[in-house]
Amino acid sequence: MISLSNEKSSDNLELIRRSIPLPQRFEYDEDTINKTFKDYKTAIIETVNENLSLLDELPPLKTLNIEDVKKYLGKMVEDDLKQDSIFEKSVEIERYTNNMWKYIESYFREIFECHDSIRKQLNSEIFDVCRMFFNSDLPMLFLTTIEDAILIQKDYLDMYDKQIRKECLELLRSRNNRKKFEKLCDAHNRWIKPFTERMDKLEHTRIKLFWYTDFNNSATVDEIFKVKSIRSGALDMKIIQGFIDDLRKQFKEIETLIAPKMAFSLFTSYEKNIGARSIRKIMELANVPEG
Amino acid sequence: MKACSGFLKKAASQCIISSSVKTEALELIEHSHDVIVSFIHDSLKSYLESKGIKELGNRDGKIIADFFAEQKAQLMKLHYKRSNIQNEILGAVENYVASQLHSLEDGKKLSISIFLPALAAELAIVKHNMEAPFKGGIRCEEIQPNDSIISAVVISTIMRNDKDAVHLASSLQCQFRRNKWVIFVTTDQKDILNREAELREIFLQCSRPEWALDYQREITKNKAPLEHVQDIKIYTSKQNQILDAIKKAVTT
Repeated sequence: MISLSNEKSSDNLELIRRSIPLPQRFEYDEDTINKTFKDYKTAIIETVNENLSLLDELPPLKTLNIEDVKKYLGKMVEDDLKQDSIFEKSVEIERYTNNMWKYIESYFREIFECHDSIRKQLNSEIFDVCRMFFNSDLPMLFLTTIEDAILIQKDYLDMYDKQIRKECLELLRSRNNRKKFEKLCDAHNRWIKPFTERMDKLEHTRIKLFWYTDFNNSATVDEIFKVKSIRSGALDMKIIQGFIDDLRKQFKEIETLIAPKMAFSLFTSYEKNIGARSIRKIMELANVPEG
Repeated sequence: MKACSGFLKKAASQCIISSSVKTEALELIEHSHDVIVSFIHDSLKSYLESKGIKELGNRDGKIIADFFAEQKAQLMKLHYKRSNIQNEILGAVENYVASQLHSLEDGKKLSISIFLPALAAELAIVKHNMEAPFKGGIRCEEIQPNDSIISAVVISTIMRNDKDAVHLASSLQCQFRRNKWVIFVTTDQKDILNREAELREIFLQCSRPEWALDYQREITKNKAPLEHVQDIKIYTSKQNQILDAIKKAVTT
């Protein structure tokens, strides 16, 4: 079992980390590098600020003072990112994507492993939301909507990896043709653009829903992200429903975009997977006509 | 389902899922997932808490076994007679929980606050994987079968399940609209495959996945569906009925 095998007793720390995957750039000239190259420290500051901006988008909190939360969250995000190896790796990969011409080998050596780590992190986030749900009286739709929003991020990574495996060969073949190489990077950026924007929006909405639920069930800032009892009475359920509706709408939109690019995946083997067998059994029972 | 996987591996590009099949499959998967998670979230969690059990290991199966025995006894009292469906649902959940408990490493104890959500997390991924073929793995076609075709299918085959009637009617309508033979692939022996002769009489061939490509090879030796039915000299009453319905649907 994925979650049981990585026994988890830590907090439910749901944060914005990095937009992954990033656009590929052919080559930046010196000035542009100085202007936009983000070192590790800058990336941390930017990500902390991104989290704080998201906090500003939350509906008013009932129990906590927003300024206290901001102070606490800023520090927490910064400390967390400093220990986050995936974050560090993503900064390194961004350096490669900014100069694909020079770093193509490094990029393709690191990107797949980085995506595997992100997948594990997403599994851990599924566990976090399940744990929140099990400590709550929240509706099932709360759980399944967040789960779907996380799992579509995994689908996106699968699809992305599949696409760039194809692109990798083309890029390597064009190493001696700068113009063609540049065009390939542009083509890559064109197809990922609609996904990146939507995936970021989806992740932000999901995190806002999680934060809204968690923060409004915290008596003090020290309790945020801690495992605790969640009561729907502490929340405005209309706001929760609004988040759920938004998330489902965004999820459907991405699902429609991803579907044509998805590789055909076989049916889960019902013989081997006990969870699939149980769902299948109940499906058969539910399908028995009445009367 | 092994047969289904094998068939789809070979023939996915030739397959179409009708919108009605897609909708029903996704609803059933979601419903079944929710049944298991609700049961673990509500009943099992309350039971373990009421007994003061804080952690579980792979040798604690008896605790879970007692819980399910108690649930089944209550179910029997409630219905005064054995409720098969409820019991079987309970059995499926029991099976899942027991297997996951037994899969824990020897000597490892897990807090129930970890174990129960982990069961749900695992199930979310299983559900997602089960949904995948219906969400993009196979081409889906939006088909709204004409009511008269649905009625003709129900009457001709004495179909008890309304949803199956819609799926079969969708296939028939698609077959005659495109004028290309369709093989309705299913593993549902009881409601569909047992009515193979009745369905064939109304021009729909159904098949288990193992034989679907063989049926397809055979049926495409015939003329295309519209030409094929025109060549028939005398129609049975069921054929008359279905062809009238199809004529209406195809011409509207």
